[in-house]
Amino acid sequence: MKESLLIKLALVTSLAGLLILFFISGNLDVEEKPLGKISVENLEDYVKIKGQVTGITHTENAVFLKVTQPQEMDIVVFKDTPLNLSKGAHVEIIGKVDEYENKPEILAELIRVT
Amino acid sequence: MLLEVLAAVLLGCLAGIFTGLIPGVHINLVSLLLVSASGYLLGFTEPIVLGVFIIAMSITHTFLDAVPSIFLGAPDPDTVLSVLPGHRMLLEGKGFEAVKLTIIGSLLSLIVVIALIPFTLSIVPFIYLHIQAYMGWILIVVCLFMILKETGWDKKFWGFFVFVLSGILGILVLSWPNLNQPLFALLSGLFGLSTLLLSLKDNVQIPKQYVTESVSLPKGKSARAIIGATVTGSVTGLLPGLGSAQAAIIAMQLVGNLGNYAFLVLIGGINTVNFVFSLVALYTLEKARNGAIVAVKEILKSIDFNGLVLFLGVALLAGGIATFLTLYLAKLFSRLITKINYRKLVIGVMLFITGLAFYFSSWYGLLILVVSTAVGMIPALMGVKRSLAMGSLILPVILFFML
Repeated sequence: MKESLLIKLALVTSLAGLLILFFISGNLDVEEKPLGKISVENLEDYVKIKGQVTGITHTENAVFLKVTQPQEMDIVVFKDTPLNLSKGAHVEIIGKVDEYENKPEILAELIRVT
Repeated sequence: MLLEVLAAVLLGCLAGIFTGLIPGVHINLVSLLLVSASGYLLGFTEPIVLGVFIIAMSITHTFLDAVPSIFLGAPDPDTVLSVLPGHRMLLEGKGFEAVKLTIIGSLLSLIVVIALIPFTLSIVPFIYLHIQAYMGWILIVVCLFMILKETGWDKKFWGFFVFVLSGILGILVLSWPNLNQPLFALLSGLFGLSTLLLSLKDNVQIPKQYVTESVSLPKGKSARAIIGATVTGSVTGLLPGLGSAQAAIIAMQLVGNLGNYAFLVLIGGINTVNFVFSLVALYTLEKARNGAIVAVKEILKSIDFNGLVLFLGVALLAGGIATFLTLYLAKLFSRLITKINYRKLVIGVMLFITGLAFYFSSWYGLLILVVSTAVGMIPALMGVKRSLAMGSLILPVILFFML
């Protein structure tokens, strides 16, 4: 095999990779939703929300946050997610929609202070 | 997001140069460091971008790790079997060709396996369930076949002896409590230091290295090598306890005698396919099969279909970039290696490996290195296949599946 052929193959491979990245990267951003638009119909969906932490409750296995937008929603943070938050912090949260007592809540996977 | 992903691919490729070229610095180490720093890094970027960095680094590593294996005789666990044919070609002035063969294997197998992945996603759970139950037996048959292929009862005995001895050594080392990087000392001794010591004894001189434009590939054998790499690299990428090294042993029996050239294509291919298919294992089975994927799982928890497609795109892009990088670095090594006193270089590499073994595992590391070097010299001295010392990794895996 000639090196020029190998180089052409490498170029085509890189271009194919670039094309895939170009088309797929638009689908990777998690959709930001207002809290009022999240319902139990969104169960298992990944969502991004922004709001202010208005309550923090620590339990043995999880931390429960109340995030206000002004609508309010419960956020569950399991202990393996790093957390350094205080009341009043403005946060961006990415997580999966779950249901508890017929109300939607979010199981947080990423919390960022904004 | 696209720009962040592209930046992560480029940084990953740079990190892959670092892990691929420096013996002892493995992608698992960098991946675990990244997990430790992820709490801080996720303040600036998305988890998927960190995943992209790890995938790009790992793919680049699978292309580049042939360079130290062939030019320095300092392999990492995935490329141990390339040391001997690679070293032989180096002594014929064909070190660059040897590396180029592993690149051809990596790139072609990468393209083939990614083209096949859409058709395999639905059958992966079935394969996983059914092959896992018989994997121990498959490995026993493969190993028996390897030993019985030695000519004459004398060599069959020594082949069996090397396999069992290195297997016992592997079991002892892998079950050693609190040992950091146990494979480094074990495999460096069995395949690296033992080869280098023998080349010192033989007063080996490295001839002028030829950087040739083309390399003659036997078409039939190369096709068998690519198919063998794709099949065994994929299956072992799904199963626990198996990696490139075990895949190579199975493939060697499956595809028959390939000769040095196609064998290097096979080794290069297996290494890359094994990593790519561990992404499929993460998507379909939600299981991590190597350290880098453990890190990705730790950061991302799981990947959806979009995530899998993204990672396969990253693998293609990083594979293309890694081809250029590896060709360039192999040319550089070819030029430099004849300007350096090879005896001093070998002694330098041996001291470096010894120092790293001590750094990772203290005095125990040195003890393992000495014993495994002694065991690694037996095949060469008794005229049996060096690959039988892979018993060090195969026997523990057989016990894992059978017990």
